[in-house]
Parts: sequence; C-alpha cells; structure tokens
Amino acid sequence: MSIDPVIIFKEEAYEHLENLENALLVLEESPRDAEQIAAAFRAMHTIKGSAGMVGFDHLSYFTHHIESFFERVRSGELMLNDEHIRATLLAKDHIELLLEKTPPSKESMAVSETLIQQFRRWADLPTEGSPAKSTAATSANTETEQRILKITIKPSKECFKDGFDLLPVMRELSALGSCHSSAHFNKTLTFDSADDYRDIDIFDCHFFLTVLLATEASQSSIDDVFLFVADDWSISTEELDPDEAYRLGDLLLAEGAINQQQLDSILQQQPKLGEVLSGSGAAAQEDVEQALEQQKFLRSQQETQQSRSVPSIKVPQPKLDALMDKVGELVTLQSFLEQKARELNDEGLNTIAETLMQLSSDLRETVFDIRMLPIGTLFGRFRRVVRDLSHELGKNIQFVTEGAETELDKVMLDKLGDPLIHLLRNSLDHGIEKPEQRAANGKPEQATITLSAAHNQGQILIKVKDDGAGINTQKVRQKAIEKGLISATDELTENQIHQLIFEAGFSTADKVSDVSGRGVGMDVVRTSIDSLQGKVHIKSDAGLGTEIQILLPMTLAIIDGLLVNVAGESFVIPLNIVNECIETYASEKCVERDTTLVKHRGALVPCVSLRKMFSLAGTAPAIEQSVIVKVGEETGAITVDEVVGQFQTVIKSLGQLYRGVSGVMGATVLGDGSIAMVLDVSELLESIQS
Amino acid sequence: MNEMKPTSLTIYDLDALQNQYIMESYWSGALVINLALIEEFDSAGLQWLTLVKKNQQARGHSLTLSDVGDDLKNAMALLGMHSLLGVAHVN
Amino acid sequence: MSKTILVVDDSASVRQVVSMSLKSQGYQVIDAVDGMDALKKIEGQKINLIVSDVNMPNMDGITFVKTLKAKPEYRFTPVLMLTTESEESKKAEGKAAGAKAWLVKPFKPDVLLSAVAKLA
Repeated sequence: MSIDPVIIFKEEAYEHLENLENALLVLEESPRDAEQIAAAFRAMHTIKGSAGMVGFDHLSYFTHHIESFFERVRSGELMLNDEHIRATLLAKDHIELLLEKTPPSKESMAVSETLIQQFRRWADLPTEGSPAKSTAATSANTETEQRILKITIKPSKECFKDGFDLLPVMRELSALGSCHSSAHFNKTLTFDSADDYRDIDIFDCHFFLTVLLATEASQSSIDDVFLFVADDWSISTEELDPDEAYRLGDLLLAEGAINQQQLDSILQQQPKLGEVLSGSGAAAQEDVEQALEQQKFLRSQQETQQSRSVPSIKVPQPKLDALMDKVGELVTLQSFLEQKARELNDEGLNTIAETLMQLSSDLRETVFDIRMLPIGTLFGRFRRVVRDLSHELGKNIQFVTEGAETELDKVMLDKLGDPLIHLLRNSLDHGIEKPEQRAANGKPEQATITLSAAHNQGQILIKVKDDGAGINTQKVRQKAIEKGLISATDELTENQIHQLIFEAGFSTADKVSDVSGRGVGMDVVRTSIDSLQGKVHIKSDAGLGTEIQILLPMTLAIIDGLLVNVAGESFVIPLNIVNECIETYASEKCVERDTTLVKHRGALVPCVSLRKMFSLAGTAPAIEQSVIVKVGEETGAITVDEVVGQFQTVIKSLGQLYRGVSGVMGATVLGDGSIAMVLDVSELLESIQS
Repeated sequence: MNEMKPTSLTIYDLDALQNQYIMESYWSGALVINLALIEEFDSAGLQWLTLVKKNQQARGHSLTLSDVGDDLKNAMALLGMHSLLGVAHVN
Repeated sequence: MSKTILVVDDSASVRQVVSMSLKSQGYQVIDAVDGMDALKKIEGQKINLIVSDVNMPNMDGITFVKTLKAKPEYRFTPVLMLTTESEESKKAEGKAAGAKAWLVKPFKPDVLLSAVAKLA
C-alpha cells in the first residue's frame, strides 16, 4: 500500500522492455512469429497505459505511437522488416532514458518526435498533434448565473439489470444545486388483478424522472453527471423561464398527465384547478400532487432568485478596458486642469476644477467597481488542490477560507492564482506535519490551513496561515549562508532570517519535492507579487505555524503617483510607498562601498540618483530633493532635481523597446502630451544593493 | 394487519421480497413495511416499494412504511418517490 | 457501510494507483492480476463494482465479465472497463458481455473517482 507507484511502474516497465527485446531478437530471425509480435505489442501497450497514470505523460505519448505501429503489424496489415526492428530497439533505449529522466529534456522530446515520425510513416497514419485525446476530458466547471432547469431522465428499461443504479447519478446531480424530483410511473402498468401484478417484471425500470434543478453549474458539468448513461438513457434538459408563473395546468400538460383539450375545457370552469383536475378524473391524483409540489419548488426558487438578483448585462472585457483607458485619460487631464487653476488663481476656475475632480474620482471608482470580482472565484480551485494534495501526502487538513466576497481587479485576480497555489502547496508539503508527528507534539491530528482576504487601509490583505511546524530558523540561516545570501557573521533577527526564503534561488526543501514545484522556491511567489505592485511578508513561530501576508493595491491600472523631475524629464513614483520628501545637500551625502547614503532621521539610507541611474545629462543642483520610500521592510531614497506634486495617473504598459529597462514598470501620458516613466522602486532599490 | 421487516432493499433481495409479499401479504389487506433494519437499498428496491404501494392502493388496501431512516427518506426524495410513498420530504 | 470494489489489471502500477485512490475515498478494494485470479479471489464475496482492464493474460477482461455475469450473485454487478484507444473496437463486444461504462487509459485519479461515484 505504501510503496510508491512510480517505483512499481519503473520495475514493471523494465520487465516489459526486456520482454520487448527478447521478442525483437526472435523476430529478427522469424518476423512473422505471431506470439512474439503479440508480446511486443503487449509490452508497449502496458507501458503506455501505466505511464500516463503515474505521471509519465510524455512516455505514454511516445509509446502510444509505437503501440499503434505494432497494432498494425499484429493485425497483419504490416510486415516487420529489419529497419523496423532496428528502430524499435532504438525506441526501447529511448524509453529507458525517458524512464530515468522526468520531466524529459527538450532534446529527448525531440528524439521522441523523430522516432514517432518514423513509426507513423510506416504505420501510414496521418500526422497528428497532441496526445491530449488520450486523457478523458475533465470538463471545465465554468460557473454561470443561476438557472432553473427541467431535466427529464428516462432510464433504459434494463438499467437495473445492467448494474446502473439511479441513486449515485441523482446524488451527483443534486449536489449541483437545489433540486426537486418527481417519479412518473409508466401509465400502462395495471394492478387490476393478481396476475397483472405478477406480470410486472420488478427488475425492469418502470418510471422516468423529471428533475427541477436550480443551479449555477454549466451545461458541461451537468452532462458530466450522465457520462456513462448518456448512450442508453434519454436525457433532455430545458431551461425554464425564471419569470414565468408556472400554472398547475401547464405543469401537468408538460408532464403529459393531461392533454391540451382536457386542460382547456377545465380551465373554463375556473377555480381550484387542482381539485377540479383530479375530481374530473382528467388527471390522476398523484400527478396533481406532484405538480403541486413542483409548483411550490419553482415558486420558492423564483422568490430567492428575485430577492438576490438584479438585471445584469454581459460586456466583453476589451470594452471595459477601453472605458478604463478613457477614464484614466480624464483623470490625468483633470489633474492638470487642477494645477492650471491653482496657478491662475481664478476662483471660478478653481470651483469647476474641484467639481470635476469629484466627478472624475466618482467615475473612476465606478469603473473600478465594474472590473472587480470576488476572490472567492479562485477559492474553489484551491479547495480541490488542498484536498488532492493532502490525500497524496497522507496529511489530514481542514481548509478554511475567509473573506471570499472581497473584491479584486479581475486582471490581478488572474495573476494571483499561481502564487497562491504555490504558497498553499508549500504549506501542505513543508509546513504541515504528518498526523502521527502532530499527535506526538500534542497538536490536533487535523491541521488547519486558512486562506483569508480582507480590505486593509485601501489595500487588499491576503493571508495564508497554517498551524504547522513553522520555519526552522537555523536551517534557513544555514542555507542562506551556503547560498551566499548572507555571511556567517551577519547579525539578523529571526524575522529577517525568515524573509530570506523569498530570495532568488533559495529553497528550504532538503530534497526536491514534486509537490511544491520541482525545487522552485518562494522567490517566484515574490516576483509575481512584485509584478502586481504588492508586498509579501512572512511570520513564523517554530512549532506553532506560519503566516504569509500579501498586501496588494486595489487595482493596477490607475495609481496615485508623485511626479518628479530630473534634467527636464518626468518620472512618477507610486505614492503608496512614499514616506516623505527631504532636501539633500550635496555635502550631506556620503559614499560607502559604492553606495551613496543620505541621512534620514538619524540613520543612513541607501540612495538612488535617477540622474546616474538613467544617465541623464546636466549636473545636479546644489540642493536636491530626496524621496524617502519604503518597499516591504526596505527603506531607500530616490534623489531627483525637483518634486512636482501628487497626481493620479494611468499606467500603460511599455512597448517592446522598453520592456528590458530595469527600474521602470510602465509609462503614463501627462496632460501636455509628454510621457513620464513610472518607476519600479523595488527594482531600483535592488539595483543599488547588489 | 400484516408486517414485513426486510433487512435489505436491493435488486438482489427483490426475488425473496416479492415472493414473501405475494405469498403472505397480498391478500391480507393493510400492510406495514418496517424499514428499521434496512442497511442497503438501491433504486430497484425503492421502485419495488412504490409498485407495492400502487398495487395496494389499486386494490383498496393500504401500505404504511414505518421507521424510515433519513438516508432512505433522502433517497426517496431524490428519486421523486416520496410523495407517492407518503413519506415526508426531509431537509 | 463501505463499498467493495474489485480491481482487475495485469499492470501492478495501474492496480496500485487505482486501489490507492479508491481506498483514499473509503472504498474496500480487492485486486487481481487477471480474470482467473479475480474469480478465485471474490468467491463468495459481495462486490459493489468491478473495475477491469480489457487486455490481460490468462483470462481477458471481456471473457471475465461474461463468466462473472453468468453467476447469479454477480448478475447485476456494474462493470467499469479500463481500455486504451486502440481497443475502441472492443466496446461493442464488452457491452454485449455486460460491461456498461468505459474509461480510456491513461486517466487521472479524479476522473476514475468521479466515474466510480456514478456507478457504485
């Protein structure tokens, strides 16, 4: 039970390769030996099947083609020749290589393709692309608006005899939303005499179901429920109009319990339709009762739906982006109007500028709001990862999410998925101890991982928290010294040491573990969060657990910035990292190990001169301005000629030409049409530290 | 009054249950099926209950189900048979 | 009450992966290397679902299902066949023998589990 399937698979694969080789040796002499051809086919067939199941996808793909070739040889459509046998021996060696090296290198994948080409040509199969066909489709569960569906399920008559039970299918279907079923028994069943009853084959299925399902699930997840029965059962789905009042008569008509004529004549008699219908004998009492229940269910669903849904329209994202762009331009222009108004000191103009500012900032908020999605849309995906991984790792974990309703810019949300999964995997793999170990340490066997999101002072705070072992400070320190990140003599606080795990190239896992991503460390997480203008911080208590905090801005598209000037060029510093501006005299600066330092509140902070950094012309004025910035735990100064002032700005991504320029994250168009670079301050600070 | 108290309601039990019903209970009027001991059941089993109910009703007799556990009630509702069987819908 | 699933496949690694994922969901698993072995091992046992490979030595999947379905105690037991694309043609034969559901190898464990949930 506890033996790694991969090890079993490899042993088995080598055994099959040996069988293949033996078969090939015989086939060289007698190429028509059916037994040996079957053996060769079986070897490829089995390796292909097992490989895909233990994660050797490329190997599975490769052997699939050799197998197809031998399939044709086996069926007598192809006759083996020496060339075929030589190539198969090569393929056998190649499989051995693929068994040892996962994931396969680019070179070995190229070798695979060359061999595959050859075998395909011989087998005379049209060239095709990917192996994707071989995996059963796992349908994407895209969630949609809630709909009310009426699903009619007519099982095959023999379904019970075939071993199909409706209950598992119905359980799965009912998990997709709230549901109400009615069974409709075959009207041809009669119970008039004992013989009638005895004639009923109780092993046949004598009813069909109508299921009303109020669900947000997509059609594909509904189809998925009927995966195995779709061929033999009749399944039809109809979307019900949520606004329609489903009258009893209509429901009965839809079930075929009465016909239109009967309904019309009864409707003319008016009140208490239910009683009239059953009283008149037009519909059986049980049908009326079931229809009444359906009606009750529909009404309750309609009520809940109406109470929470307001009419909405779908808009393609590019249109929203365009709107955002325009609002951005308006915001920029408004900043300059405000500046001009102040310069002209015209009261009337000032009033207009202020009103416009209020208006454009309201407009900005509204547009932001439209682009926002609740972070909960990501949580579902995580839940599954945690569940699968905890099984895989044999850990008992309770996954708690909080603040699913917290909204984030959609663009950010898309980029947040991978780093968060990485953090969760890390927690699961390295943070959480095995249940035995937890019990031994007096902790509950079930560990808890909490993923929470919340608004925090105009920013979004996301936390991934576990009650695992915490970070082994000594180990991290040791590793950081080995990697040359710190020197053995550096005096660091425990907290400072913990942050080191985010440094490039750092990985705490002693062995490269498949789970937390093939040895890729937390630096990837930091890089992703950096690119979102966010900050990441870790807190850990040995034995008690670890908490990772991610602080993100509300949006990427518009930021509040500080406009500065150097040598006539404009730059923008994101305002959320600016602490204050100070004047710096050339004489106050000192240089230590190639780094310029300025004095700030009694301490020396490293300082970047934009003039030097971007090789701008001219000489610095005697009194420069230094903008004190704080990125994460790092404080630094950016020295400029002049600080112009605050304004809101729209970031545009840079063209290909500037993409490689370090220290710049984007550009913005100023009111006068000129362009200002938006500085990537964390990159700037890194550049002076290295 | 006649009572049946099956321990299992699956397709494998139907032959025996049907036999018992026809031999012992078919002619005796009101019938109670006590479901307290049911450990396993499936759709075929629930269909059989419904067929018996219909048969009893058609002949002016009754079928009362007693000691219906929540699992069974849920399953009856999933198959839309709860109202036919006269069992109240849970949750 | 946990359900018992019979897993028949000549590949040890497939058996391992399949049983591990089934056991993780609380199913009881009996595994066998081929049809012969399976018939021996389930003698007198109650089985809720059979998961069987098609291509196996000694007794292949289809013959196995046919033999099994002939026994009264297993006549209604659902069968999920594991197959590969190259065996598509065997589907009709398998259906006639009494197999109802098919999964194409290789598949991911969660695909198997969702299939099993629909059948057992």
